[in-house]
Amino acid sequence: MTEYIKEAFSLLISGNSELWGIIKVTLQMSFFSTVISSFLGLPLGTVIGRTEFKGKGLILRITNTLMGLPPVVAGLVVFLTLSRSGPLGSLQLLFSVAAMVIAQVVLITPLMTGMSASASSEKAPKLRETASGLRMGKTKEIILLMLECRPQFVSIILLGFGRAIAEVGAVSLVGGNIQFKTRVMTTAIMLETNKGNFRFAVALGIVLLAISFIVNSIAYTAGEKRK
Amino acid sequence: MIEIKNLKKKYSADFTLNIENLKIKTGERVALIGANGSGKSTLLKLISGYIKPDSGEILINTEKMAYLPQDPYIFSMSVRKNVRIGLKDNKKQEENLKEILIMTGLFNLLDKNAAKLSGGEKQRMVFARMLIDKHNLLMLDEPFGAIDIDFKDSLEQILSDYCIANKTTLIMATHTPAEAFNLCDKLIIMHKGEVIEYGQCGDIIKNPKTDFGKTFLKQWRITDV
Repeated sequence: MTEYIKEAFSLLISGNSELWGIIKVTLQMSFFSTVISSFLGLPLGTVIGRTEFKGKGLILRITNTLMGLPPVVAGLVVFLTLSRSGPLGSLQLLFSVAAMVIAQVVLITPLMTGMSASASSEKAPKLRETASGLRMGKTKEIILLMLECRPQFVSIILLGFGRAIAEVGAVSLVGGNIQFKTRVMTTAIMLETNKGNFRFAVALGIVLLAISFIVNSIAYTAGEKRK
Repeated sequence: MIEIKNLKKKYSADFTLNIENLKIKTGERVALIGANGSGKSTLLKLISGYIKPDSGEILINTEKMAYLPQDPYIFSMSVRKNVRIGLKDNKKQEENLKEILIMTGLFNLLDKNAAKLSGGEKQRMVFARMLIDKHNLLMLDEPFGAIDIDFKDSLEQILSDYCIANKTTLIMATHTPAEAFNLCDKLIIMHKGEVIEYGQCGDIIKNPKTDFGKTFLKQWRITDV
């Protein structure tokens, strides 16, 4: 194992173009899917969390179900939607990074929505009453509620990023694991392990762990600063 | 002028707020008193528009109003930002900000995170947040609960001056006789969701119409009864 790790480091330092290409595609995909999911999920979750309305229970149950959506099912749905005979087939997005981002957004958005609804619902009643007393508009109140939930939202965004970067089933289905195009760290690790190329797989595993550590460190530092 | 007609609102399993007719004239200062659960907070929430009645209507002939809940939200930002948070035009009120912060003894804490203030400081800050703007109607739900004794008298004076200067109608729920008599000229006694006494403070103290009114004022140790 130590040998593999040593070799993995030398591979990383040597600037292997395929390895760095995979890292680049992985980061691109994870970044864009997290950003898009954050823009969709956090405001939606905040609105659901702050308001009491008929059918809220049903919406929360659906969101919670989607939070546990198996990645291959999400991948399959996106695959069928983007395939040539599917409703968005004309866009010709299948087996591209864009398709992988769409699949990730389908997976991560419910997670962000559900968690932000839960985070905002704790602060919402008191904040709403105060905002109403000061005659603030609804938009200003929602923005303020989102700002007040910043620490929780940072954790939610990082959790979403963690899910995106570690996911394998959906991206493999809609991306096709094409070398130099849609191959990401998780799909490459699977492929190289099957091929017996452990050196390459371990190198990718180390990078994945390193990114995960950096992401967690950012979350920890952000949390400490707010104390 | 505030006019309430046939107002009904169920606010707990046992009680429904039920007010047939209530008029509060512009510039009047009214203290809402009554035991816990008598409907004071619900009435303030209804007048402020925060909650909707089950039936009946509330007519308010006032442009600008503010409602201070019993447990207001403190935003995790500086005192300065917290005080200005309800303003539509931030720049206009810079002078008011300085004045109100000096009056409430918060000027030295201007840039401190409001979440780190003491309970009394937070209460003074929410006062400043409300009084920085001119309102024709103020609705306060037990506003002096956590205020330090050193600041209580001066805040009462600030509030009284504010109401006189702006001809502001004040409706204030309170459990403290001194607050009611220092700040208000009229008294409403509430019991189980109904207004059982309403009139000038002096008249109600001298001549309460109901047995509950008499008992309640005795509990308040108002010896005129």
